[in-house]
Amino acid sequence: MLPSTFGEVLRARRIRRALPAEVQERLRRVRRGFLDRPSLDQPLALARFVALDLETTGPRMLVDRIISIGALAVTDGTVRHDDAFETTLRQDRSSEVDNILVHQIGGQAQLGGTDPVEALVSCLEFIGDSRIVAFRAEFDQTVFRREVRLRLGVHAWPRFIDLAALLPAMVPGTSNDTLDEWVAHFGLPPVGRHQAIADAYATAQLLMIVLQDAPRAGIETSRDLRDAEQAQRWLGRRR
Amino acid sequence: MDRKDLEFVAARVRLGYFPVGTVIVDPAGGISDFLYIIQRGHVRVRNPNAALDDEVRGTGECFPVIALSAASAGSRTFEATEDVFCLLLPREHFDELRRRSPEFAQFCTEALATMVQLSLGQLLHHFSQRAAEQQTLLEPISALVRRDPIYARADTSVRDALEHMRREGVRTIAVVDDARRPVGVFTLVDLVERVVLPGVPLSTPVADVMTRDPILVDELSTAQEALALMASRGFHQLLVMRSGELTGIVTERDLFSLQRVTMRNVTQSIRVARDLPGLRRCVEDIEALTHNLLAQGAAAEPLTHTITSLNDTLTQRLFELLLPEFPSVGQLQWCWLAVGSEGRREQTVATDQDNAIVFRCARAEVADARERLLEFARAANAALAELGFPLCVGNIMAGNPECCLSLEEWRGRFADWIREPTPTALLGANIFFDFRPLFGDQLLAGELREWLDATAGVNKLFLRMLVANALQAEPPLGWIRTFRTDAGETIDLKTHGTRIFVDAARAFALALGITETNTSQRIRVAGRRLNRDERDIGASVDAYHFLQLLRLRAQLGGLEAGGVEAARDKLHRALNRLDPYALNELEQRMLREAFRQARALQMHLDQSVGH
Repeated sequence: MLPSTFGEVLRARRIRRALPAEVQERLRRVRRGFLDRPSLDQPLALARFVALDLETTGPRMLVDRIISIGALAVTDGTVRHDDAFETTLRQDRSSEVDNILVHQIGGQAQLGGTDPVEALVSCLEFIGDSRIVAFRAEFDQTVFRREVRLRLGVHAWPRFIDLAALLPAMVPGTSNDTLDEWVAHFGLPPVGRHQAIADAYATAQLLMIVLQDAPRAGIETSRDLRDAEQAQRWLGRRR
Repeated sequence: MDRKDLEFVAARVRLGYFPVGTVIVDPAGGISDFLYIIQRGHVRVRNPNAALDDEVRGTGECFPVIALSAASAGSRTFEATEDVFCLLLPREHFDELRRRSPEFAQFCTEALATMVQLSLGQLLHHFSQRAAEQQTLLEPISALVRRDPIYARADTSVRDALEHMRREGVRTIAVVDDARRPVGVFTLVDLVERVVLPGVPLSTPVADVMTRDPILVDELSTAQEALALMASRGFHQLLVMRSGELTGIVTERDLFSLQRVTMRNVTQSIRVARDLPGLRRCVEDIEALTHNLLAQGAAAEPLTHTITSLNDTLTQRLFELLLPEFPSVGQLQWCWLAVGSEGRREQTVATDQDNAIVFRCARAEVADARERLLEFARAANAALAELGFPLCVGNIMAGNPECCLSLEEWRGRFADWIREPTPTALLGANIFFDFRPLFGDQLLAGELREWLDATAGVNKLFLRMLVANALQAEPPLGWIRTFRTDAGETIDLKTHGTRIFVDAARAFALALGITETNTSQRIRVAGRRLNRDERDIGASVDAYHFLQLLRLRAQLGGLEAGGVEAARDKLHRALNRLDPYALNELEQRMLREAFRQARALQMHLDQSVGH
């Protein structure tokens, strides 16, 4: 996503310049790595994917803030327990009580977490040049991009791949809709849901299954995967 | 397992997904990169050896533990029988886990132990299968062909044909035309019926009295088919062909011979054998019997004992047959000694001759007696060679004047060796100090043994040199789980394996005055006298037997592969050699363990007798 107005560009630069020098340097490094990222024609088996999930202060993607981030790498068709990321962002004020109940992240923990700038930079570093996959990606993507733009002054970030759109294409003839339904469909062990890392883990497992089946569906590169997902999203909108 | 260790695992595993039918671990892919812990689903373990049924592993089980522990590619294939989720622990972490968690290390060892049991089963299975094949009649007829066919041209006279048959010791001869195509057979029965009784002159061409239109069978026909043909045509022999060429003659006797090789039968047939060819057939029976015994699961010790005792009987019978031709030997007081492995009652199939003679007579008559004995001994050596015991390359044979000595001379020789233990002397001691009486006056051998035990045991210098000699050979263990092989990438199982045990056992025996010559007996008796742990004694003996078993297997395999005659030629060179990496993973481990035991025995010798 590129900045749409000149004003946005200036604002972003102002935000970046206000960051500590050390953070600016880290962002530059992430950006360099991102620009050198492998092409879309890289075979799936060699690509690193990051399954990502956010817990937010509420369901409104334009205003609610990130409470925690969970992410796991998927490489060579395996979910990497040893390549995972989890952080809780320190909040200026804790979210409403009903939301606390959903995510079970208490006000204390919310107020205690990591500095948001630090948390987001670490997250970008963890993602590196990998492709991001999420379930219902639009929501996570919108919130994540907004926070990154507002806090780090970083605009350009690629689209998330939406697993919720891909799965029906790979496993036709089911009426599964939610993450829970898909997890149950594949008989995956129910993990402690509604925590960012747990949902990310469930997402990663589903991604692993999709990647395993991908060659059979003629999907061999990251580009094929993106194309399949886009076609499916387009179909989904028409439906 | 410790919580710390579980956390160690949890932090390092990955989750993998394998749809049904996926081959998760394939031996062809080399060493597995991961330890797989099944989280969900079932995995089928395919064993290349049909002896073991496939097994199925489920949730919570892991694989391939044995292959990873051995850091080898393993031999089994693991395949998903349904959609399977596994936790994958990278190999380097598997190794670290074994180091840090005693419980896990124990688990791996136990997995291996089960495997040892299974593998011994496999080994036996391999041979019982061979034995079963041998005893059914479904084997290709070519397996029954024991020698090149004896044949004569059609225009050969009956006399020449008979002469030829007598030389070769056969009862049947094939008759061929100018293009070597078989046109008939001629047997001793034909001789009686068509030559002797009708009074046909021996100068008649053999073609006139042979049986025409012999049965020709392709070498790939089964023995059963051959038997049926013989029965329907009323013939007792048939000619085996390979693409139009005669490759052998099989008689009814051959077809049934395989089923009558029991220990008692073989012993009996040795006792009643009337000539060299008769004994020669017994040698073949001994080989067949050895094979059967191995198949039935006989351990190396009873096996080598059996071979030795049959060979003893064979040699004794040979001497009985031979002695009437040497009347001058009959009046002498002498004893035929088995030395070397034969002396230790550890003969394997491919053992060459190691023998000597001790005799007693008045001093003035020594030279004369030796001459007479040598004449006999040379004939005996030659006959034994003909029976398939190759002549000794080192000329350690009774027919050598150096090995045919009076009691005084042997004592003098032994005393020299003990007083001045030069390398040559030790070499001599290694061979001759394991003597055992085989034929003749046993008291002579007993006297010599008594004297030797009393003399050698008290000479410290000699003992020290003997120990040093036994410590010289190093077990061929390489760095970390490898073997030290020679240029041909093989290990000499004798030089670098069994000999270590044999030499150490001899040193023990002479130091402690143990009259026993058999290696495992020596190790047992010495171990008990020195209060060695009974388990350590057992481990040494087992390791020794394992090496012997491998040797036997290599030798029998070689005999089978090349045919008896071909194998005889290369006995010395090839049959003690083994490519360790051709063994399966488990045997490789057992072999390494055997070599480690060799080292342990050497250390024990060094500590208890060496100083």
